[in-house]
Amino acid sequence: MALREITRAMRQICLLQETGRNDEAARLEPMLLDPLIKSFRDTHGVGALPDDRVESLLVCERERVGDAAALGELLIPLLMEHLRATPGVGPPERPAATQPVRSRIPPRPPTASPEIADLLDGMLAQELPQSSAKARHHRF
Amino acid sequence: MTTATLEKPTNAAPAVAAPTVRKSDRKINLIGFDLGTNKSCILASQAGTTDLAISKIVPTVVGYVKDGIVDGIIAGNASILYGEDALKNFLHVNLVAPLENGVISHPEAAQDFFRHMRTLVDPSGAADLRAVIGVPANAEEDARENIRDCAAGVFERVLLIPEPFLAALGYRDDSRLNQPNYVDPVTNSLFIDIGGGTSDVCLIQGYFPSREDQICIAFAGDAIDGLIQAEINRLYPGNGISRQTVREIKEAHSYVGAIRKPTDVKVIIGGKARILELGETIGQACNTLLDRIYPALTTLITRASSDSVVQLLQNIVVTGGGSQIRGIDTVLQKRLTDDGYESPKVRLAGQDYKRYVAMGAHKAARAARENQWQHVLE
Repeated sequence: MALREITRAMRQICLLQETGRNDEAARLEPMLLDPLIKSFRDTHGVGALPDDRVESLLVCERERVGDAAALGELLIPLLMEHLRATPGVGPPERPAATQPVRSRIPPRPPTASPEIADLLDGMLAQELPQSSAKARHHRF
Repeated sequence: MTTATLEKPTNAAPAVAAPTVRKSDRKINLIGFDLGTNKSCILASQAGTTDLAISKIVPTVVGYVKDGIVDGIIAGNASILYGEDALKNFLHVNLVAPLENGVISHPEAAQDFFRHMRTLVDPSGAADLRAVIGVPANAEEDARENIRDCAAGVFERVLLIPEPFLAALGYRDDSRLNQPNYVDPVTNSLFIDIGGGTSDVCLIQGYFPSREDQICIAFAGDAIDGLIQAEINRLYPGNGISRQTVREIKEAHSYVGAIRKPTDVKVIIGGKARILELGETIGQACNTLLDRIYPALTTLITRASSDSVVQLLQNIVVTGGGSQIRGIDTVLQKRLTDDGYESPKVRLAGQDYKRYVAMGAHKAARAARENQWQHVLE
């Protein structure tokens, strides 16, 4: 149960970072996450939750939030389209969001070395939306 | 490699021997494959072992033996040669470069090359081969699909991963990860991978780089050769110097920064030795590369978070064949310093620059989970 609370707090922080609310995220870390981790370690011992495990959980939650945001980018326009097309359903007419607001806030580099397999998960997650949409790229 | 002859190959490559054991009994070989425009590198080991069974660098060239070649001229009377063998027998074969600018341009030759790679790793044809293959940063989907098509029937499973990221992974010293002062290049670095066809710049900060974190520049070693050759032809008309010789001249004398004159180069023209002064020619061609890379570098620096950028600036690594251009590290570093960047440090990848992409690919192959591998459909 306590571990779930830790991952939930991590998810909250990652969500704030993903949506550009870095200051709130920075405040939440010492206020919420650190005490939860401390409490867990006091109960179960430091060995039950070493730093690299914490880092690994954070990477997972960051990817999960990133995936959810990417999914949202795809679904929101479709949902809006569907709601507009269906009479009497959904909220009043609003200008369609052609591109969901997604500020690219670079995450802080992790303190611990990421696992290769986790990095590959990140790569494969990126490839999913790109198989249906052309991605931008820089060319010099 | 630009000595491509465009005659269509007439002899089909021999088919890879079909496996004769049950699929479940087949040994699994894990491969790291750097498919380079000019040179490819392949590393292979059996799954579950740490020893490298294969470590080879092979020029990415296929030679189709010309009609009418007398028996015994070509070893084993082979109809197709690869790599060094093809280059050594250039008089008797039609040389074809399967790749151009980092992507497959001659699919049939590329397939033959892939089959040859398989034979190097698994002569029996009985093993299950899983390959992580490096691709240029931000390779388009059709370029990736071409690689998958070539891999079909050769490798059982593949993963295509951008080369600069693999270079960082290969460069990473796994034995030092727990040392407090060691900065894992996968955690916070900028990699500049200068190959034959493309120069790729990649920001790597502990997560898999997105498309916006990578920039691919279709200007690299081959383009420098082109500039040098064009200028030699202008200065010394009718010289007859081949592209291969130009490449050797470049590799021996390349530099960036202030023009160095005189740089005297001995060449053979019409059977006679001549000394050509090529300092300005070589310097200008190599500086052109730098002028293309620098904006990409600064663009990616701006993408890093403010918390990480100072440390990032200390971890800029140049790898690939272009890392051998004299002064490329110091000149890039000076440019960054002169432009006001905080204590930048640009370093060269070192002696293993030819292998880092393949090393990273091999590490990825060993670490990939079962469900991450992509089946290749024939």
